[in-house]
Parts: sequence; C-alpha cells; structure tokens
Amino acid sequence: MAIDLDDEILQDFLVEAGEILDQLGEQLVDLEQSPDDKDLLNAVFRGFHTIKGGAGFVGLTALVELCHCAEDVFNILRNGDRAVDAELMDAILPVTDILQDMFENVRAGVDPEPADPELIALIASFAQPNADSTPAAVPESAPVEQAQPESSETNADDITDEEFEAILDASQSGKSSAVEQQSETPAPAASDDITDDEFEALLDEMHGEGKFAGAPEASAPEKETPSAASQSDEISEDEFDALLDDLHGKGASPTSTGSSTPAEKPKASAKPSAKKAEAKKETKKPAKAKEAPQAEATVRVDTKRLDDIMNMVGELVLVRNRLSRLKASDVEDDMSLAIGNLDVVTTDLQISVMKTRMQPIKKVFGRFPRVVRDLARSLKKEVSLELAGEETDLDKNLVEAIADPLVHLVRNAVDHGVEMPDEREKKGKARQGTVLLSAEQEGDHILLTIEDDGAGMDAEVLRKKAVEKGLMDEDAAARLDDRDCFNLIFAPGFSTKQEISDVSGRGVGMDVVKSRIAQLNGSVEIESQLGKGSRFLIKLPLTLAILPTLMVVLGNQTFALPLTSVNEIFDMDITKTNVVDGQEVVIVRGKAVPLFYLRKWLVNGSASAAERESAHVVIVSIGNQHVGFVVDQLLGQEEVVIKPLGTMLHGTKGVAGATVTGDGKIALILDVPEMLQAYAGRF
Amino acid sequence: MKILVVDDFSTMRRIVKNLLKELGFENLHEADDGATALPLLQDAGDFDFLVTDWNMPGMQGIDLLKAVRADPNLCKLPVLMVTAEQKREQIVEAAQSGVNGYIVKPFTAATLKEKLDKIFERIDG
Repeated sequence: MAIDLDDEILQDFLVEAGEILDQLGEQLVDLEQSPDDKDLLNAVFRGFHTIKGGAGFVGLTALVELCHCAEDVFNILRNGDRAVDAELMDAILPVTDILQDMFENVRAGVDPEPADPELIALIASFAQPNADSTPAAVPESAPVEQAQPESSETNADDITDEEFEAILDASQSGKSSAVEQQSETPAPAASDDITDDEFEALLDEMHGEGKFAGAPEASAPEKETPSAASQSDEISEDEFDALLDDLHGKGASPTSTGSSTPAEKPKASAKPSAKKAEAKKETKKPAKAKEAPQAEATVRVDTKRLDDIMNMVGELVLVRNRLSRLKASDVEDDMSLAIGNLDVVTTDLQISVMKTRMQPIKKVFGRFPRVVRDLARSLKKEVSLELAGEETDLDKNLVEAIADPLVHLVRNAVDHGVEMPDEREKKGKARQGTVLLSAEQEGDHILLTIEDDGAGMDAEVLRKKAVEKGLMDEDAAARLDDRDCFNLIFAPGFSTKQEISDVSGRGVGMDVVKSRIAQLNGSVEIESQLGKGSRFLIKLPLTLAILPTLMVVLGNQTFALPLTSVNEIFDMDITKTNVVDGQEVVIVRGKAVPLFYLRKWLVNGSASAAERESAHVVIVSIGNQHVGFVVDQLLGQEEVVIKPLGTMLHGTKGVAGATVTGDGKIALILDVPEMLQAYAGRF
Repeated sequence: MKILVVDDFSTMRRIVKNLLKELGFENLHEADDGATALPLLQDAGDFDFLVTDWNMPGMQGIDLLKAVRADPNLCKLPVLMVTAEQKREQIVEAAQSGVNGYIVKPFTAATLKEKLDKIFERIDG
C-alpha cells in the first residue's frame, strides 16, 4: 500500500464496493437465466473491475487478486469467447461469497487472507477462450493483411471484438493471437518502439498521403498492433512518451497540434480506415450499459447520526404530546393555535426523518435468487423465485432484522414446500415449482408474503405430530382448527420432516423465526391448502422507533400496549365469566378467550384486591390466539417513542421499554408475548 | 486550476480528489461518467484539466476523450487517463485519440504529480 489513506476512504470503499458486491451477487444469478445478455456481462465485468481498482488504492491485495481473475473471466465472456455454463457459474459464484468474507474481515480490521490458490487457478482456467472459438479460428479473420478493410466492411454491422482483434493480429505477419491471452509472455520480437517511418506510414494510410499527421484519431487500429505485438502487451513509460512524441512531434502536446482536425475528417479523407472506425464503434456499443447516468443527488450519512436525529425527534414528539394534552385542558386561543401548528410540523418532521431511514426491501430480497438457486441445485429441485414489490421502503433496522427470518422461511418453502420435480409431474403440476416473495405497504405496516405452489400443509399430520411430540394431548389436538394446526410449526421443537435435512434447520428454526418477528412488533400468519401450496404472511411496522400504543391504567400506573396486537376493547360484567380447564375465560362471539387480570401481574399488592362488577377488557392477539386482559382504565391511543430501560432493569420480563406520556409520566411498554410467557406460563 | 475528475466509482473520485488536493489543487469538480462529464465541460467551458477513468458505464473514458477532442472548444483541454492496466493496445488507442498522459491504478500523489508535470512540460514545450 503506497498511499497514506485516512480511514474514511476505506470506510467509503467498504460501503460503496459492498453495494457493488451485493449487486454482483444478483447479477450473477440473473446471468445464469440469461447467459447471453451482453449488458449484464459488461455490468458484471465492470463490477469486478471497479472493486479491484478501489481495492488497489486501499491496499487490499487479496481483493485485487481475486477480482482480477474474475474480471479476466468476464472479459472473455463479454467478448463472446466463451459461453456461460453451470460449471463456470459454480466456480464464479463462490467468488462473491469470498469477497463478502474479505469485506467482513476488513470491516473487522483484519487484513484478509489471499483467496485459496486452487480457486484462483480454477477461475483462471475459465479465463481462456473455449477451444473452438479462439479468435484465430474465426473465419473472417483469415484474410491476409491488405484485405482487411474489405473484410471488415462486409461485416461492419456485426463484427465482434475478437474478430476485430483477430483481424488486427492477422495483419502483423503471422503473430499469433496468443499474445492477447498471455500477457506475461513476451514474444521474441524485433523492436518494441514504433519507428517514425512506421508511424508516418500509418498516418499516410489513415489520412492519405501527405495529409496532416498530428490529428488525434480514433481509427488507427491496424498499425498500432506492430508495436503491440512486439513485446509484452503492457506499455512502458518511455514507450508512451515516445509514442506521444511520434504522434505530436517532440515535446509538443496534442492539445496544441490536434486542434485543427476534428474527428470527422478521416471519414472523408480515408475511406477504408473510416469504415474501420465505424466497425470499431459498432463493437464498442455493447460495452455501454443502458442505464442513464445518475447525477449525484445523494449524500451518505452515518446511520448513527440518523439514529440521533430520530431520537431527538422522538423527544420532540413527546413534548408535542404533552403540549397537546395541555391544550386540551386550558390554554388561550393563540397558544392553542400555536400548539396545533407545532403538532402538524412535528408530525411532518417525524415522517420525514423516518423516511431518511427507509431503505428498499430490495436490499434483503437481492440475496434470495442466489439462496433459492443454490438450495434448489443441492436438493435437485426445480424452483423459480419471483420477487415483487422490491421497492417497498422499510426502516433500515427492520430491513436488517427481517433478513434472517425471511431467509429461513424462503429456504423452508423450497425445502419443505416445493416437491421434487417427478412428484410434481405426477400431481399434474409443472416440474418447476414457484416461490413468490413479495412486499407491499398496507397502511402503517408492511406486508411480506412468502408463497409456494408446493405440497401445502396437512392439518391432520400436524395434529398427530403434536401429540407424538407430547406438545398436547389428543383432545386438545382435536380441538385445534386448521389454522391453529399450521401455527404448530412455530412451536419449539416441532418439525414435521421425518428426516432432518441440513438445509432448513433442525426444528429450531421456526419458533425462532416467530419470536424474531414478534420482537419487531410484527406478526406472522400461515395460510395453506393441501396440494396447492402455502403462504406465510408477515406484517411489520414501518419503523421500530415510534410505536402506536393503547394506553391503559392499572392501579395508578400507566402502561402501553402495542396497538398492533390489540384487537378490540369492550366492557363486560366481570361476574359472567366461565372457567374452562381451570382457566377463566370470556366468551366472545362464541369463542372462549382466556382472561387475565393485568393488575395482578403488574401492580404490587393488588393480587388480592376486590374485584369490581364490570371491567374493561382488551382483547389482544398473539399469533392467531386471542387473549383478554382486564384493565382498570382505558386512556386511549398514543404514539410513543420507545426508550430502552436502564441497565438495571434490562431483561425485565414482559416489558419492552418505557416512554414518557403526554402528561409527563413514565409508562412501561408491555411486550405481550413475553409477558404471557412469564406470567401465564404458556403461549 | 479547475479540474474535472470523472469516475463512476465515487470512492475513486474521492481518492483522486484527495490526491489532487495534496498536490495543492483546490478547484475540483466531479462527474460519474463520460455522458455527464461532457455537458459539464461544454457548459462550463472553463475547465483547465480533465482526469478520467477508462472503464465506465454510459460513456467510456476513451469515448469522452474522443468527444472532447472533437469539440472545437475543448480540444485543447489536457486529459489524463486513469487505467487499471498498462495494456499497450489501450494506451496506444488513447494516445492516438489525443490523450496527454495516463496513470495506472493504484497510484500515489507523487506519481500523479510526476504525470501532471510531464503533461504540462509537454504543453509548455
């Protein structure tokens, strides 16, 4: 590493090159679907090329080496000297993984180890043209030197890069095209400096005898090769200097001599070379990617800063809430107006700041084509993955947090959902199964769907399994409806596959998936039809920082229940409850809902408090189960900013955090699933 | 001196700009490929130097060079080409298209200075 680089540049590199690397992962999978896509090949080539270039500057030689050999492969591919096949993809795909690992190393401050030489060698072996399509073998390249203008003329529309190279090679009296491929082997050659005479001849040929010689010219390819072939294909400093001298006269700059001849001129003066210039331009075109260049309209900001801003906006929201509360009681008109104004502005600010933290879910979706491809290949299944709604925005933290559960569910869909091709055929389905992964915004939350057209779930099998595993007795199992049965797969230690595959976990996964989603204040639902397929629906809030809650009072303390889990609220005569299986229940529309007194759990010394006759009941849902909580008072909805509990209180069961309420008091935010687990000893 | 740095990789633009700053150049501007650089050069009309990467989406460095040389107002603009390899064929093409110098990645401020000095020597000479 030659330059003294501040860390910032390294960080920049990691972020930007990391994005390119993520993109490469996607592009490579796409490439397998459309191996002939020139633009894609170019994009991949450029991706490796760019990472290599940047890595060189920050002194990451291991990255440079690996990217370099991948780049070589794609150079061959984009020139059409080799076709993309599965074997090649199997060799190339791990490269992005290794690069990811190297990035991780660098992020952790470790200098990455050079890649396995065997892999490098393997990849390098792909960086050769296929035997049957070497440039030398291309028929058009056969003609001898002076016939080239014609030959390129006839093929002007569809000449490829390597044909062009071959023509150039053919022009230099029998020099083999191998020079192109073996850059390190110097061909025994006469002189490696282009001579004045040669150069004069070249210019004469280009522009016609005696014409202006110093013009910058786009189309002198046939004669540049004598020098190119003379030794290695790398140019030295001195040679370059000599070349400039030759081109523009000793010591003169091209800018001072070249001004008089616009590029169009050679076309008129020298037809053959102009034709070649066109041919050359034709070949250059595929190299340009289609997408329009993006003006730099973005600024990179450290996430930490956004977190700080979010936090401060949170505080502001709290103050706003307090003022709004005050306004309601007694304030003068002017003040009330100002507070109303503040209210509006704060809400807008809150939304804007939230948006700065939004990222398209694409960031997570992007890795799935690869996951599905690899998994399907190893299971010998045929699965196509469809993505929808990749542009849906979601809080950055959520995007990261949802990745693992999603991977698990998608792997599950491929592993357990989609059947083997033969089996599918027998059932009259297409051999290839489909997994659909989609995201969409639904009001204030995001809906993620993972759908497969596989075997679906058999409620009966799940029931049996639950009994077998001792999760419940037969009676209880028989009482479960289909939906409840599907939810059994989220129970800890529940796996319906007889043989455990190392692909989608050992039955420890699904319960983790569920609890992870619950931690994000989200929920997951299953729909399944036997023989048709299954669908997992995940609902997530747009952001984790601000939580709509239902404020309730127990004793004289305020508590907040996440609104997402609240189903309904009603008053009831508390004496009219029933007892089923030793559990107090309330009948809601014909269904028995377990009833709990939150006061007994959360307020000291109220366990024996006398029960009143009527009470407020809040029905909350956990997964697909409903539970009723009896509370003393209902305050209403409030958007609260979640503040973590102090270190002393960390790990308090059933409490997700705290917040400052509109009247300046502190309210604990309840974590319903955890609370039920801790106090009711179930769910 | 007003300098335009063209590269599609923003980290690279930053690196090049930092190196140029080290050499005392302050008036630095950037563009992310040839297609955005060209109108910038044409509209401003007062750039004194162009540093461009070779391999870019949209418009490649070499095409930018050719376009610059073809524009009567820009044809005198000194151009330094940044490349990843020292491929003779590429360099020769660039030279023939009117490049003033080339520099191979990665490079140091010292190398960059050397290249710049050489270019101005040639222009003045």
